[in-house]
Amino acid sequence: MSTHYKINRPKVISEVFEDEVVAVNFDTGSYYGLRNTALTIWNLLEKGASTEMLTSRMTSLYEGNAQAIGEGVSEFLTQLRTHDLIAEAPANGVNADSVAIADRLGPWDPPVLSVYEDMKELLLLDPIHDVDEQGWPARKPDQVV
Amino acid sequence: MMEPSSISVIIAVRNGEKYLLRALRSVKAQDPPPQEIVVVDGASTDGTRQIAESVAGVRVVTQTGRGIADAYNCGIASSTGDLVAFLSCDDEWTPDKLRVQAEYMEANPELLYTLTLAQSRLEDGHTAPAGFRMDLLERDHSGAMETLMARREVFEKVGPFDTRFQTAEDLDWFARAGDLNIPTACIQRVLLYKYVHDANLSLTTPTNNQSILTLLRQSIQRKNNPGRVNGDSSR
Repeated sequence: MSTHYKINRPKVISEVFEDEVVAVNFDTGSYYGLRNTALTIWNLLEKGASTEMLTSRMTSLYEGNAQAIGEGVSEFLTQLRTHDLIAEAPANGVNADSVAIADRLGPWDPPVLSVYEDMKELLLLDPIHDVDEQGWPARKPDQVV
Repeated sequence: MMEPSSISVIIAVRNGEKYLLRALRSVKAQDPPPQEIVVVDGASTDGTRQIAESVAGVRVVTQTGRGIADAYNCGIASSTGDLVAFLSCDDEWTPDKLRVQAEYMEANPELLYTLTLAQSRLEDGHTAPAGFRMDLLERDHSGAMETLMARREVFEKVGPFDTRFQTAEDLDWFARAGDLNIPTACIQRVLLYKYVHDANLSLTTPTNNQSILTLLRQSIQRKNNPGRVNGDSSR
């Protein structure tokens, strides 16, 4: 069965700027830049796409060898999980094909996760804002998985 | 022996009557005392101004612009010390803060600014605001703006605080300084007590995440285009 993912909010925040997604992991103080194919994958992940959907959608959006695209997507998801930016989630009924993206986006380039750690100390001072409804102080930081 | 650097202390405050006196007392307790204490009043509607004026040696400057970044810039422009140190109206320095930090910077003339460690404390009778990291109450941690001591000339290199940010203006400044490889250090001694209460400005402003993402985006753009002029990126 294909795995579904979700962005690890609220400890991960992100925003799409014109050509790049910037994301912060407030548990580690690292921040990230995702462009091109990485940006497209992130946008689809935001909608709850599964591995299978991602691979098929990326294959239709980009010109390239289907197997290479599948491997590239899978490696990239592993990287996102390693950095704790995404987590497995129950299927949410989303059909990635329905997520509007311009037709052909060009040749396939393996997605790149640019990792920045130069603001760690200061970002770790910042509160996590977007707490869920239970909110603080119902849970302690070490319980945030 | 070289003449010791003169120090200006800047407290930017808007409606801080509740805690300002404690902060000012901690500045007055510095040994040796700073050459100058400037309180930048951001059009407070409470007793902030009266409290500041009641403390001998404090100069009150009325902020003409808006926002905390502008207040910092106003304080820098209104002061004359070789070294500029900032304190929040609700925080408190240890009595040796300025001396330890100034001596460190004298001994390390290549450093253009330094930070120190801080200890966060919960204000009496208050609960931590939503999202606050409780572990900060249990360990010494790096301080930010309220521990900053900067040589005046660093503001010519890095530029002023960006007034487009309503919050996280300090993070933006530190990111810009970092991208310029400005030499800095964090002194591994607790010289600030940071008080946490349920109305901390940066903790309650919903635009904070937005500010952080924007300033990090700008920092990434600077890293990708090292020649780029500060502050001209999309917002």
